Amino acid sequence: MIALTLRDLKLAMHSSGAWLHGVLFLLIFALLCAVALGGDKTVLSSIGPALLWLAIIFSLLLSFEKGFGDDARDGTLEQLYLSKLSLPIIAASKLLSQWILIVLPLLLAAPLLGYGFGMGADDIRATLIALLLGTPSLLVYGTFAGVCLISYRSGGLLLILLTVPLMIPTLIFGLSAVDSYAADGIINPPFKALAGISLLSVGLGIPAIAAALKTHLETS
Amino acid sequence: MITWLANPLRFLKFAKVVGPVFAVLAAGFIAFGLWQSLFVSPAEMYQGDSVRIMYVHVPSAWIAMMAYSMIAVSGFISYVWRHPLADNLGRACALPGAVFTFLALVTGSLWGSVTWMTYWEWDGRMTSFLILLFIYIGYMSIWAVMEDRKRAARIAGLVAMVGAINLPIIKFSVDWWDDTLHQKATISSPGAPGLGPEFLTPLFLMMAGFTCLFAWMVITTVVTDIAKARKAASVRAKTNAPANVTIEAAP
Amino acid sequence: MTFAAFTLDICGVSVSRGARAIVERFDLTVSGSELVWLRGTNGVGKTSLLRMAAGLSRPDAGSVTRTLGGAAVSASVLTGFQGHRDAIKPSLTVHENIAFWAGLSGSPDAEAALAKVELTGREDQKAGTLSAGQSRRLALAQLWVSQKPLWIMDEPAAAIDVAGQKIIDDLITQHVRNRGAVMLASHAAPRGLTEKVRFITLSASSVAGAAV
Repeated sequence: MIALTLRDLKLAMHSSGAWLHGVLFLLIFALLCAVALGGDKTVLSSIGPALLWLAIIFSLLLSFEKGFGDDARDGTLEQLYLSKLSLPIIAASKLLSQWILIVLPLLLAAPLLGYGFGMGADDIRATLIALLLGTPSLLVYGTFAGVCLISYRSGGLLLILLTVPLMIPTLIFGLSAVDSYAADGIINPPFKALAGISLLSVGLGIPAIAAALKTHLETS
Repeated sequence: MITWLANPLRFLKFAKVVGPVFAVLAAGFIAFGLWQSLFVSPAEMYQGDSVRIMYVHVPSAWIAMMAYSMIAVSGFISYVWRHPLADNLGRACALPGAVFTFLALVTGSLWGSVTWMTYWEWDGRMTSFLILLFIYIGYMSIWAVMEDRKRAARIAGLVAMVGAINLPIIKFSVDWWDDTLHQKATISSPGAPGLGPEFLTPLFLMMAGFTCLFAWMVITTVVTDIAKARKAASVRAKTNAPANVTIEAAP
Repeated sequence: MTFAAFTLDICGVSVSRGARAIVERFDLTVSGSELVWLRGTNGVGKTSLLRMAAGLSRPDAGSVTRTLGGAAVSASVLTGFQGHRDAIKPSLTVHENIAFWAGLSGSPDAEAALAKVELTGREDQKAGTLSAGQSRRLALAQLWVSQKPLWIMDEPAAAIDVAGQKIIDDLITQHVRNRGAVMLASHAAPRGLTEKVRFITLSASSVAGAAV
């Protein structure tokens, strides 16, 4: 499983920086927000956590199509299926590599955006913790939808349609967590809810992704 | 009963009888219910005549939720036992379900326009139903884009199950959001408890009517689907027989 | 290395692709030291049949059982599959590609496999710069390192020149001699393969409407 994840990372290193597209998008989104809101830091900082969450959700939505797409197109998926690895393991290792390649760069860039929006250190810290707890669930939903729509190249909008409803709880608790951080620290209901949703979605998502992969193999 | 109906031919026979019965019942209940709700039942003390919107709104919302439960259950049956009739059923529930979700949203918005003085309020229930509408559209899109029926059935089944697991979480989170992040609407949504019998009679009539209407729509769609599949199969048998296979050892 | 006794038992199987029936009530047993050659025109369904045999897809009806050394096993233990797609990552080197699959199956001889398909000396070349024929040979090396007793090969000789064909034929022959088995689909007539060959010919039903 680690070998599979490492290979994905190695492939990304050879992809001439494709893994940085998400961060680039994040910065562009921030620029647009700042311009649209007149560059007023008092406005920007008050809605900063929401802007950060939106930036990350949009950026992720653009990345989900990659997921298993290449592996399915070049025959790697068939070979992995016939190897000693089981589909849940294949799904889990892909989630891990996607988290490192797609989510981690965004989390690293997020404080920079927060600073740019003029958010306070507490707000930035709270938003980061919330993102850290919440993004695994977003990744699972997107990867699941991406696998369901493998081989539909124009499936971009449909992928968003399938993913967004599932993301709403994470977004709600993510923002609520930032709100309550100042008063309650990180041991408060929204943070717990975020962690719970992520655990649940990873636990149920891995078999669901495996099932969708199997369906793809059986019907291609 | 369910296993008995699982055979498509038996289902067709069953549908031939039951379909029209539901159609007649739906027409009867809805006609009687409309008469009750528009002329017999009184205007409500605070909300006035706008309370009559409830007689369409609540049954629509009920069908919207029931239809999705049926989609989720048939998705499960289809995925686990690969039963084609379950695919038909799930698929047939989707369009009526989406339409009733939309109707619930529209009637809710109309009711809001008189009660809250706005057509749209980001109220927990309205937001949940908007999300439900998107879930319906996503489910229907899968059937629409996937030409391979086997794949469409399995993916749709999976998506329906994942949606069903998440719906309670979505509902819960949206209610939470409504409570904590944003101010409550002053008057609660329609369907508040403590309704008198003069309101309940037309409400139940309309619910029965809508349920029969929904059942009739689903049965009709399934019958059409089965007929189409059988026709395609018979055409296929004529033009596209399986290959002849010969196995021989090399000389 | 020789393989333990194994069987692939296909019993009363129906396969369809999309809405199209391909075979119905198909029976076939493959065991060690056998070469099964699947023939038929384009679109008759060879690939679907091979994918079913490889365990990548399920038959609509009937059963497929696999045994190795007398015990029932899953497809991933028994079968290696070479499909139309080579499972090669163009941005990795030839060696990185083969080493990954060798590592997965626990096979130590990635270099030996490359030597067999005459790609020695190209280890550090990016796989994306290989010609179509060379990619096909690299895929063959990947099949070799999977150490599976039953090879299912879909048009292994596609895009391959005469010298390359000889490499394939030699590998197949050697695999069958090691008590492995090969089930392959190909348009070409059997070439230098001296092993026991069984032919399966799929032909479109001649009389429309006459078939069951």
